[in-house]
Amino acid sequence: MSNSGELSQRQQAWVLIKDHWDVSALLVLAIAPLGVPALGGALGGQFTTLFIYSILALGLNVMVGYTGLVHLGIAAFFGIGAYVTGILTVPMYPFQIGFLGAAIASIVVAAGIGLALGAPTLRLRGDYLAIVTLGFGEVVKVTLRNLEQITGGMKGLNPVPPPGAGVKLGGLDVGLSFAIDPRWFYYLSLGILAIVVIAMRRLENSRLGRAWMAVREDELAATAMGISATRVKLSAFAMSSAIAGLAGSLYAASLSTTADPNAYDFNRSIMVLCAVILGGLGSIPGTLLGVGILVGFDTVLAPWADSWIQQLDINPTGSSMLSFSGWRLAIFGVALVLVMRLRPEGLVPSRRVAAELHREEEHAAITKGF
Amino acid sequence: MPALPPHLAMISLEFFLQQCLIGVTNGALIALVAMGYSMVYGIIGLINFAHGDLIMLGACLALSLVGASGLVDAGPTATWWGVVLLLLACGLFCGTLNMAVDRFIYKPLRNASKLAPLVSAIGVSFIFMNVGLFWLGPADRSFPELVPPTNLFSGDTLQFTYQDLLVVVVVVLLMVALSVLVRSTRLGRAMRAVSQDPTAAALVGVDVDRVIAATFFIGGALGGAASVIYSLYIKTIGFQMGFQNGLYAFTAAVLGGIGSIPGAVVGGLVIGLVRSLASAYVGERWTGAIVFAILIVILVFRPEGLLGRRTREKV
Amino acid sequence: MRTNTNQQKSLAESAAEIPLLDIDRLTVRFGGLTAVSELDLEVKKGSIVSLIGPNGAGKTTAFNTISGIYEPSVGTVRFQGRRLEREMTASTVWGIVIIGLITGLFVATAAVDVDRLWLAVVKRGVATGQPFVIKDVFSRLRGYFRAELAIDQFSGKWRVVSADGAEVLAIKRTREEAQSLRNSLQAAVTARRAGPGTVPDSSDLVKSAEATPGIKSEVLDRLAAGKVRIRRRGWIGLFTGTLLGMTGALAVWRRGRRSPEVVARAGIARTFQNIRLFSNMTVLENVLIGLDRTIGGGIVGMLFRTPDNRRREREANAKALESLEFVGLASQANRLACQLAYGDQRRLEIARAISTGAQLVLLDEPAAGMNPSETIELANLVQRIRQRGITVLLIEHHMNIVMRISDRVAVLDYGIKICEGSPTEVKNNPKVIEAYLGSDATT
Repeated sequence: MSNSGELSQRQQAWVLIKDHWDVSALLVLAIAPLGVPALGGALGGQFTTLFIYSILALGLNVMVGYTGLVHLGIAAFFGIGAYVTGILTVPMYPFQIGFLGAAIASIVVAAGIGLALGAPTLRLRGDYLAIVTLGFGEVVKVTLRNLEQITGGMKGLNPVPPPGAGVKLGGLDVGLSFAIDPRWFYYLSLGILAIVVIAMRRLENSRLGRAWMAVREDELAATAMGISATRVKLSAFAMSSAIAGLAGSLYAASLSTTADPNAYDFNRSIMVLCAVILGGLGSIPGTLLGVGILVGFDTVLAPWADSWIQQLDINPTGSSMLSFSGWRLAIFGVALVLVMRLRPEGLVPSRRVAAELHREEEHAAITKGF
Repeated sequence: MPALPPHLAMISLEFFLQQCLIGVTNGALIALVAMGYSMVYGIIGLINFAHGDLIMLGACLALSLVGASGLVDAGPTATWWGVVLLLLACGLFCGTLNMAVDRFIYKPLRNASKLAPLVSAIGVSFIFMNVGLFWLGPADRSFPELVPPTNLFSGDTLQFTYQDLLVVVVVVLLMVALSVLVRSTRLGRAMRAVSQDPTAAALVGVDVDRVIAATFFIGGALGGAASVIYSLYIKTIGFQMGFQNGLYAFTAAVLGGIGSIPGAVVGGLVIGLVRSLASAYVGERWTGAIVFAILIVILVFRPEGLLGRRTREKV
Repeated sequence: MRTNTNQQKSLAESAAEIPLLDIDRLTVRFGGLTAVSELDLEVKKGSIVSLIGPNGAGKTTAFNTISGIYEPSVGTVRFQGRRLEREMTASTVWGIVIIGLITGLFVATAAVDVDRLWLAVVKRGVATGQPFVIKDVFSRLRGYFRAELAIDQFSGKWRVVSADGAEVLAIKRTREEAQSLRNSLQAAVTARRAGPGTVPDSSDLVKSAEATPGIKSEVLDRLAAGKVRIRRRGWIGLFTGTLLGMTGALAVWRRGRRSPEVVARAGIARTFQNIRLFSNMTVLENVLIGLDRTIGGGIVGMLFRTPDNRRREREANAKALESLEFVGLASQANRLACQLAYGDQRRLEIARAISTGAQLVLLDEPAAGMNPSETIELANLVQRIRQRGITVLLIEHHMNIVMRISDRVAVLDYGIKICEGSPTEVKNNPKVIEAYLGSDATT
């Protein structure tokens, strides 16, 4: 008896955590640096990157998940955010307006460019958008590389000063703290991530979020109800771009460089897209989980497996076939194919998308039955 | 006529014509790849993301075959026959591979949402790239010069070599063959029917799955031919070449009107010309941006592409 | 006062004379196929009009054309006396002009080489240690477009440089030396630009410039030519870009002139023959999409859940529930639309349509697939819709519904209207019988 009571208590606790996964995760992540000293070192930096990618993926999710538009160039907006922040803060240029202003500018510029790109193209068929965003991603990368005087070409812009450089708070040099202790960035990016999650939640259940989903479900029916599909799609594009710009701004600040333009290429876009699809389209926890898995794969699993294989000493010639990271592309590819085949709604499906993907199967089964 | 000083050479007529020739040759190559995209899109509405990487694999096979057969040292007649055999072998290989991918990966997703095959195609493209990485290694490889770069024009004001000729001839032949196939064979008629309305086609007795498989085979075979031509013409191959080529070819397909085969050809020629003229008059590094700008402009004025038909949504 | 009411009255009368929906010689062709041919149809306010006919008669095509999905090949559709097209307003024109100018500026920036522009405007100031002020931006921009020479300070020395600082012409020890050399070089460049002979003393200046070691006359020529080139490029870029942007915006606007959205906003809502609900949204959310326009409120309100936003959402919810109540689905409000039974889905479509505040609803086979009792219920529902003051245009195959509730019936066959009249007139029309049963039946 007592055993089952305990179990139900445990179950209750589990349900509680599951229902409030967000608060629980936030609490754990907020307390973690106090208990895990490694977070004050390189690990803290890795977590910061994870949070930044999560923000980026949530931005992409607005477009792909909520609105159902394929976006293959999100990294371009990430890069635009990073470079705007770089231009506005590096000592090389006379602006040096500090992180906050630069972040706002990054958001505005990225959203503006998103609007400018979306306005002529979002009225087109959905498939065309994929190619337009893909092409745009390439063009941005090449342009960043070509405008050497502005962007520093392949060298990128650096040093991007940390947030709060030169600001003294009660004898504490904020900029210096950001520079030397990774935990500052850890908390900053965690905080921004939390804000973005809350914002996404609210939008999901607002008029705009509903309109996004209606356009995804049936664009024609939505327009026949007086929804302006173009405007709705534009707003999704702008929102995606803005969030990606914010993530880029944070990225540049955390790396203290914009990195070279190749950091914002198709691979990055696709990786983020994979994370969103793997985790579950339109699902916030799914997106976060997807990013966790992919970044975890690249920064934790792949290096570990590589060193393990090296220890086994089965690869004396250094062939890429016998190293784990040599299979990276194939693993991603197989994962995408399998997810689409077996669990198209992703690992943590959004209630709605799951229903959609399965409905179509059921529908097919029914018509075949007839 | 006195020779023009170098900084004015750019505005001479010969220079312009030369760039146009380069553009047409490149454009023919792009068109060949674009036709593969367009055929598959026309029939199942899928952006076959893996097409560029399929061509990369075709190029890998071509390189291996050339290496194994010792074709480099053969005489001119043997070389020409070798090229024909290469075209057949790579066409067969890419066609079969494309068909297999359709059978095992896209076919189970026919009734899924539209995103599923697209994402799977991206996945397939990754797998192909990884195979290419193992096949070629991470660095670019140079492809042996089988066809001599002898100029067909006398004098050196205009350059049009056997290599250029090969590209144009093969592309024109394939294009003619393809349009005959689509217009006047049973299979072609079935393909057109399936692309219009698969359900209706199935109701009147068309084996839709077989038609789709055939389309994938033909699209892949065109890609295989393209891979051989590409290798012989560009002479550098690498495991990442698929992405760039795919991007240009797909842009060409969209520009011409995706799903339309003449559209793919026109789009390919436009992009080839724009690329060569832009890199001659503006600068190589800006060609991508210029092609993209032209794509956007054309889509604004003609959203269905240059030769595409406007599609009506079924209500 | 009196005249005023008279005027109002006469206005009201004339409004009553104008049919709510007036279809005039509507023809829709797809390629060689004529789906609807010269259809004339008037729908009076407050009536229920049915469109019947065998399958393939062009009824749904007519609906799709009314609701803006298809373009009419010939003919017009008027709603309340107006064509259902977006009008060109002042804001449209402004929008097009602004888009044009933005495009023009973008193209011009690309044409004048934004990279060097950046050098001239931003980086040179950094090189000379000057603070960045807006005033300088304009003077530097002017300098760049005039290809003026400038001086700047570099590791303790003064240099004479081109406007973008990319080209160093000479290095001098003091500022004065540099300035005077710059002036004479500038004059030489200006003179060259104007062409020999137009400025009498140009040769002297050029001589003195050429006397400066390291500066060749070709350099001066190039600098002189540069000004014209850069300005010409700028203007051409601005002009073509603006033109392109404006024509592009105009083309896009024209394409969206007659769209389902415009028709819906004018006050026509519809349902679809093969149900098109937002199947993975809840029943309530489906209706809220219909209400979307009336909710209003900006993104800031949504993000911060302002009291205003919450009030709007609450009101919308209440309205949506009222619509659901009206069709009898209030108890299902929180289920997903795809989980509803078939008949309920059709009723949800109706609720969604009337919640848009439409004056006319087009119901495309609302009773398809319903059993007899549901059909009767549906007929009552359509009548209740009319009681709300909403006009109904109906496509239906269930003749008992059509005959019971319609004020007027129009019969289409092969895209041609073969008969129109009251239900009894239509029922007894030999042409109609022929269309439905074939000519043998009449003989």
